[in-house]
Amino acid sequence: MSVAPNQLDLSADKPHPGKSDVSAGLRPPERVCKLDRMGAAFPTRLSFMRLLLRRMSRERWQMKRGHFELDENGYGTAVYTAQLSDRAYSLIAFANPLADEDRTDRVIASAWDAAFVLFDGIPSQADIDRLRAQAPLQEAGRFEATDLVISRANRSLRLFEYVCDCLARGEQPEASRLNEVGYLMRTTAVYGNGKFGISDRSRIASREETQNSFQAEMLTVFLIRQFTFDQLEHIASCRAGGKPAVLAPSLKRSLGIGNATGLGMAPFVVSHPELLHHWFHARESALARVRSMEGISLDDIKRALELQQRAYQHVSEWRTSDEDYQQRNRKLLQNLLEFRHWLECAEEEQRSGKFWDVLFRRAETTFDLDGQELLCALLIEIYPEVSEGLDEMFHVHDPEPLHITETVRVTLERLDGQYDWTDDIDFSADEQNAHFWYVSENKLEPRFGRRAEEPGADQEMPVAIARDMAAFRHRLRDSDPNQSLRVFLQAYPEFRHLARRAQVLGRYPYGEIRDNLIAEGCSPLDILRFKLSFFGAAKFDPKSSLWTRITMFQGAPLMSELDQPWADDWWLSVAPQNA
Amino acid sequence: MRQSSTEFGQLLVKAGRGVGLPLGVVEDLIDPVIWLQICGFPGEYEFHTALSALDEGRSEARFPDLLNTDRLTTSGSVSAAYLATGACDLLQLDWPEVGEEVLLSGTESPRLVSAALALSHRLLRREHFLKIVAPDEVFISGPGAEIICVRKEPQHQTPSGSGEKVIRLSTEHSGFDSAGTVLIDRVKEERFFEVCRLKGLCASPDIIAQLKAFSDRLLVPESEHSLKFGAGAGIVDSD
Repeated sequence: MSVAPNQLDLSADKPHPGKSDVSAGLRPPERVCKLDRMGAAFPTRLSFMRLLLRRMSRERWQMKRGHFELDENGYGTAVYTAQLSDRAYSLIAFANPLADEDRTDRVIASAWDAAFVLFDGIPSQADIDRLRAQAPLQEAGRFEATDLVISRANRSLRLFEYVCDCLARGEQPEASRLNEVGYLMRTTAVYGNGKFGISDRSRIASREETQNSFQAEMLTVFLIRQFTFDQLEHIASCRAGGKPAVLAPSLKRSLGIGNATGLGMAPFVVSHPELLHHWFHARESALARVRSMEGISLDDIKRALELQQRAYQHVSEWRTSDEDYQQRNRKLLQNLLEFRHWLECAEEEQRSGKFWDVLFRRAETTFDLDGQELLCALLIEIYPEVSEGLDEMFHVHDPEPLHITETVRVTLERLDGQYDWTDDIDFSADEQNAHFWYVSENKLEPRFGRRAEEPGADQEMPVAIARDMAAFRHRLRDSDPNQSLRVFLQAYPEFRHLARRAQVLGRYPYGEIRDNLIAEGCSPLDILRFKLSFFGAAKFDPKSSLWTRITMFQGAPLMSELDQPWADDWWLSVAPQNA
Repeated sequence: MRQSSTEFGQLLVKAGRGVGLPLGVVEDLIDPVIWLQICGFPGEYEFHTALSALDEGRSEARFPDLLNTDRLTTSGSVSAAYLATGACDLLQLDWPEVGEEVLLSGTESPRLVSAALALSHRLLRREHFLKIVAPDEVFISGPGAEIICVRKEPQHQTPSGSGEKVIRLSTEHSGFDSAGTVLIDRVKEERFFEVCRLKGLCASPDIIAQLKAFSDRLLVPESEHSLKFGAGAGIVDSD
């Protein structure tokens, strides 16, 4: 459906509904902290991968490959070092044989094609020898405080051998084949923050380069990407009798690192409300800045058209076997065409006002959620300066004690303001209690069960916030309003963590997902996609509502290209032409 | 056994929940236990002692009424977990009054309760001093956010196995004098935390294993259905 220029509404639009006290112009939490919209998120320039690479470029990190001892099958050890002005980080890669039938992405796996450790500094031979024994064990290994991140990855059976074979024959692979998969290897877990005995986040939290969310993890994945190229070329060269076998840079750039993402991310999001708030707030602040702009130049329109074209091609190239996603992407392409039409028809008078705000409001009434969220990311991408100051927000501050001196009345008022959205949910209904989140004894794999059909609900993880907050409010309503919270919580200690959570959310209004996470129809995939979009991932390929494959750093500059002027311009990568 | 404080903290939460402690009560105990561990005390042992007492029914899962008693306050067989949480809450009400002394007796983990009180008092940034006299140490939390811990001289320590472990709690506007070996002060505490930041914690493998046994109660046994459908991917999910 096309839109004639004179149908663009330049008049003051109706205000957003919302009860939260958020800064003027930000989309309120009740609008954005919803599963369906979270499940339509796209990466932005505030994504953690983008933050990392911009810093690496700006600070001129020296990247080099040191130790590299692989046999003709690519098995062995490699070390990559990122040298900063006053410290270094090193990725140590251990590649080993793995039978095809043993290759699985599940947490229950016990062997992988390669295991990795991000080491704080430059490892000695003793460090390498120690980690050679421990890294392949992953969760079952024991690590030291110098070991910042551990990860493991499996080869793409579809792509690795094909590309290797091409290079060994002196040929470049077809770009279209690369685009079908998007990666040579995919990680199945990237663990940081003190898990399994690796270094606490506190070791690196005060460092400027790792203060923000998941920077060490992103560096790990970026270096793993480089390893996949080097391993591939090494194997191909060995097969070619020692002749160089180099994958064209443009084709390399089109490859990222895949990832198989399961449920584990979702409880993290729920249990870190302050962090979640910062992620949302930064993005919404950037969007609000763009929407507040007036006097949009022709250069800005031109840039928007470039990004629209790229987004259109990116979505067109997006391969997924999920039929729902296929349908959504078809609609998304239509939205993108419509947006292009709006841009092409924009006249000077329209551009002199808050042009982007008008377009965005229009999109909110005519686009699907995917279209709206893609437009959000696109608008932020036009203006690099809108993220200024916002990319320093992604870390948690010191906690405050639970304040128990307030009355039941005050607590209830707070909860009524924060959780009124649960009023419409009948928690006595089976469909609102259909699921439970739990951890399996099998390698501690997070899982999602059906309450009426499976055992284990009495060990469920505390993720059912909507239900539990509703119960908390109900109990408060039945209590003496003048009673102190202290006395109330002594009578009902099961609500203590919720009282603390509500007080935290008073400072961080974007910190709660405003949906029932145990309801029939709840799709954990929505939480996974939201978090992954903040990582910078794209090309989501769900295998179910609990599991998705993604690609990270696809389109990103190579390790040797971080000083290029275009090094930050890789939002929503597109496939190259054949090299 | 080396552990990261994150790993240790997560184990504490799960172990506490595994024994049946409400999550909010466990949350309040994590920082004191980790603080004890970092500062060289057997925090994991203190926590395990409290959990075991609860699990075996030797202590009760209830909050003591610490306000409606006279000078001697008997906690009875109340769990240290609940005693610590309840007492720390009362600090926000400026309890105990300046010049008043409160006795907390019968707790199986006086050091855990003492650490919790000291840290809570520090977070509140009060203008007065809080003195916590445990069987073997004295903790003093003061207005400058400094916590001092002094090991009592041997003649003042409570003999082991002598019966009830009493905590004496008092507040003063001016500082306290306490004789003994200084175990923690501002400088020492910073050094301990720096070591932890760089190297992690040390914990007893036996106690860790026992805490893990508590935390494993939260795990759901494997089943064919759970294996096939619980994670959303096939058993052999591959590319």
